[in-house]
Amino acid sequence: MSSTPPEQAAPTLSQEAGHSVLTLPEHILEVLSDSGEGAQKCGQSFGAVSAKMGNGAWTVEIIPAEIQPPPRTPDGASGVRIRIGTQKITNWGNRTKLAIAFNDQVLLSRHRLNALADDAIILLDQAPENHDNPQVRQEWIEALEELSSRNYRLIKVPLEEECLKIVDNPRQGKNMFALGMLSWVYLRDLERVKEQIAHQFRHKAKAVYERNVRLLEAGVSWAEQNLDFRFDIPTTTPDEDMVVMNGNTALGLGAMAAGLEMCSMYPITPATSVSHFLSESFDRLGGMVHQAEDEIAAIGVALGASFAGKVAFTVTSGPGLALKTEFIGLAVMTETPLVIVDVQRGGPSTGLPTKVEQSDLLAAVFGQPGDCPKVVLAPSTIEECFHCMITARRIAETFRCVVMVMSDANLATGQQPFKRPTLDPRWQSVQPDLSEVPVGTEPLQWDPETGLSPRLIPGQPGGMFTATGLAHNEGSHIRSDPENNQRTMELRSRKLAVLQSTLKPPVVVGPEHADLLVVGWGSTRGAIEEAIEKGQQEGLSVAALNLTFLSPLQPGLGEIFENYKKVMTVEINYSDELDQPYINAENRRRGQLAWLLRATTLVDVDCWTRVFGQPLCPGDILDVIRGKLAAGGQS
Amino acid sequence: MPSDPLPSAIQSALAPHFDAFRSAVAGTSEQIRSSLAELDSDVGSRLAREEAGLGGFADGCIDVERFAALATGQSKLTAGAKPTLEAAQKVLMEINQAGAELNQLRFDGGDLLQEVHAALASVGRAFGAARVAELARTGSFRKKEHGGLLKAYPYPQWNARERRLAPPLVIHCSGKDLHAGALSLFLDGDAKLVLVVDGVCPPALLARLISPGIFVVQGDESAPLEAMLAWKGPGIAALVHDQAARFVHDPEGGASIAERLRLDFLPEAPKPRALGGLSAGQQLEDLQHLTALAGSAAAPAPASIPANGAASAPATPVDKLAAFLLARAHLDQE
Repeated sequence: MSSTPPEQAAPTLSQEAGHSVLTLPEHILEVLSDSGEGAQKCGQSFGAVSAKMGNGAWTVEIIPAEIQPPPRTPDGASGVRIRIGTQKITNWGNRTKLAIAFNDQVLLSRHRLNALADDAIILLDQAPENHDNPQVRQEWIEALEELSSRNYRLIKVPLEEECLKIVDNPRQGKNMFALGMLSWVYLRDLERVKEQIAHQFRHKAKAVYERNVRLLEAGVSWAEQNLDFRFDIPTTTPDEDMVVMNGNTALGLGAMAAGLEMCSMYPITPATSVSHFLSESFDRLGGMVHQAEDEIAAIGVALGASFAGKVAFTVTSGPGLALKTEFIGLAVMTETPLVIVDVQRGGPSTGLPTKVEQSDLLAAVFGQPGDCPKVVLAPSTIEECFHCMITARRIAETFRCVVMVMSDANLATGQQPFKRPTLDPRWQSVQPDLSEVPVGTEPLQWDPETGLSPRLIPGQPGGMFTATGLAHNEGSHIRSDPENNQRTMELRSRKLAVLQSTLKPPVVVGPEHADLLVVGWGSTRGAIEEAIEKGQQEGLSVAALNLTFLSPLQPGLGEIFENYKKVMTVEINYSDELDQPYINAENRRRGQLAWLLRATTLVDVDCWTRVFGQPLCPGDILDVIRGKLAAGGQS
Repeated sequence: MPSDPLPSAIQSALAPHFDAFRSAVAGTSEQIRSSLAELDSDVGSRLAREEAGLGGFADGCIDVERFAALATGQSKLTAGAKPTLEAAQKVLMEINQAGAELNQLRFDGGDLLQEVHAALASVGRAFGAARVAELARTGSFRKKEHGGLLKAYPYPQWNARERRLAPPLVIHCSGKDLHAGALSLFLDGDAKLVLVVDGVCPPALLARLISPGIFVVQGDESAPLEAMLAWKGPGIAALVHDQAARFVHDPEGGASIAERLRLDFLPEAPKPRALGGLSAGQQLEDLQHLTALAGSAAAPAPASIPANGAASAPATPVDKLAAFLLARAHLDQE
């Protein structure tokens, strides 16, 4: 372990009253603790303050798989990574440059995952070193031995000792002390930090706020007296108003902005906080959050509300999506508009509840028995989480169809600043038509060309009809004759083709012709585009393409792919590698978007996927691109 | 409806409710403006509106012209709707311009019931205008049937959401003119009434309105108006002279009258004179009624009927009557 500051790209160094101040374009830091010690609250507060001060920011929560894992275990590490920069930040970056760890074991988890830069600065609570329990002292010795394999600069901090001067239980104080240290190290505006604390504890007594501020100030004071380095990540004043929020809040706000009136859901990680957010404010705008008794009832209520003329949506994650399968089929069959948000997590089954994956794509597109055409959208930024709800509602109503919005755990808990949306009443302008239905109008009066039909609401005069999941005709009367079944299947499917006819080809980032095109979807966009940009700076012939419409796919993909020698997807889901036993080009299971693109375009689309339960790093993607191009683009 | 300025404590209690109503009126007005703009617009601005309606996520992904061609067939907004929309818009603008006077009634004697009806019907024109606009947008407005909604929208026709959204009606009146029992007709849904009473009034003015589910407050300017206004059910408050009874009946206080009723001040028997249409004897009865309820409040809550159906012996005439009716209907047995 060295005592030198970390190497940075294009840094400038200045001196200030015994401290060096290193000016950097960006930095990555982590706060790590046992579960329940508040590292996430500390990190998210720091991220929010940084964004409000004018830094680009992206935060990613590190959440253990268990709700209350045993303390002082690497698997129980809970925390947050914050990447801040002078410019816009779109992903969590590569390796952490500074970490605050509340104990040696949680630090080990990040060390073993190679998440820390070789020259990272580590501020580690020294309490275990002299702990009463000899096993804890032994673990400390072993941990430091293991950590010494890297060139970290390790600084012992009397975190627990200092907190005990203010609070009886240091587990409830370390996070604010750490926030104080970070605020000093990164030159944060303390008044803004205090405002953030006041906001976080707005439902608590004033004494709680005051105690946390004392801890914050103690952290600042300790850092000022004991640390010899500071980092200045210059801020910029944006030209327009910005907001800072995570993806789940953005989805909830987007739902309200879109005029959706009913959210019916059942709690499931990592989707639940959408409903937490909505339950605080939805009813003030005439909306309603219904927590049903299970996932099946949740979609049933949403579907019923939509059938009755409201515009409803449900929020879930992989296991919940599986349970909703039958009702999704009913929504498709009855052509009832419905928006389903799937905040993806690790699977299959209950899998990795708190970790990110993009493994529900094929389930979303194909996952119901029978032919079940649906629209599938994928926001790729937190800002898009807001706006996609407006588009989803509009499509669902215009096409009388199910629209699935595929978010994921990375977007759900990550925070990012973006331009404050200017609310537009036209987002809500589509009102259910409640006028009297002319005599002879059928509930499914399909346009023979497009398959579209006007929506009838049971409450409007003449609008009552019996919806059925059985095969039926225009009148929603049960029919099992072959011609009717063939025709109605065609018409339901046709709607996707009609929607696709309104879509434009996606836009490539980078050269129109190159050796390699990297295609992604959802939250990997920022990491992919950053990797591509760095690759181009190295002279690599590579471009990127992000897909937001996954069913139907945007048109012209085949033509775009023809302009590249090789096309590959980068995804957070599972795929076989050709160097694994028994795996060959014929039996290889590929990334889910790769499957979809191969089937649609007949292009030999390759893939690189990982299921580490964490977001992809741009550096890792760049390594893959280098390797792929060095191998002549061959798998 | 001119009135004296309200005390500032009352104004601040009412402000959020009035603001919410005005905000809803403004929102509806904005929707009508958007519909009128759609009628006046050319193809280009229609496309711009369609583009906005699809949201920022669709930018660069959806060909708005093609999408609009699919969506336009679903709109029933026609040029014939324009005069109706303009009339609805005019009503909403009038209501918004009326300011704080909108929900205040100065009652100088006469038929209180009728005047409250008229005041609420006037406020209700906002809801009527919203309904008319919706009917016009969907091509189902019929002047003969729906035209009256813009002139008056009577309280009995309001739906639950409209009753929740309507601002509390403030009635300024003289104590000698006020027979508050008549107002029970308006206490359903989430309706809220605030009586600002000048001069001497019957001492237990609101006692006969004390019922489960109704928030009743009688007191001076420091009375807990916010709690009554926040209650998700009907409520009435009377701000009265300092010699009248002061009490709070909070339906959320508990299951028994003991938990719900808080009596802060009980005056002496009223002077022998008629007030508010009540004889001295009736005033005394009201006061005794309040005293009796307050006495019940001091007593333990009545025991509930046991699960096996064997009710304990009824203690009061009301309990006796209830037990008799239950027995007649065979509802006291499984």
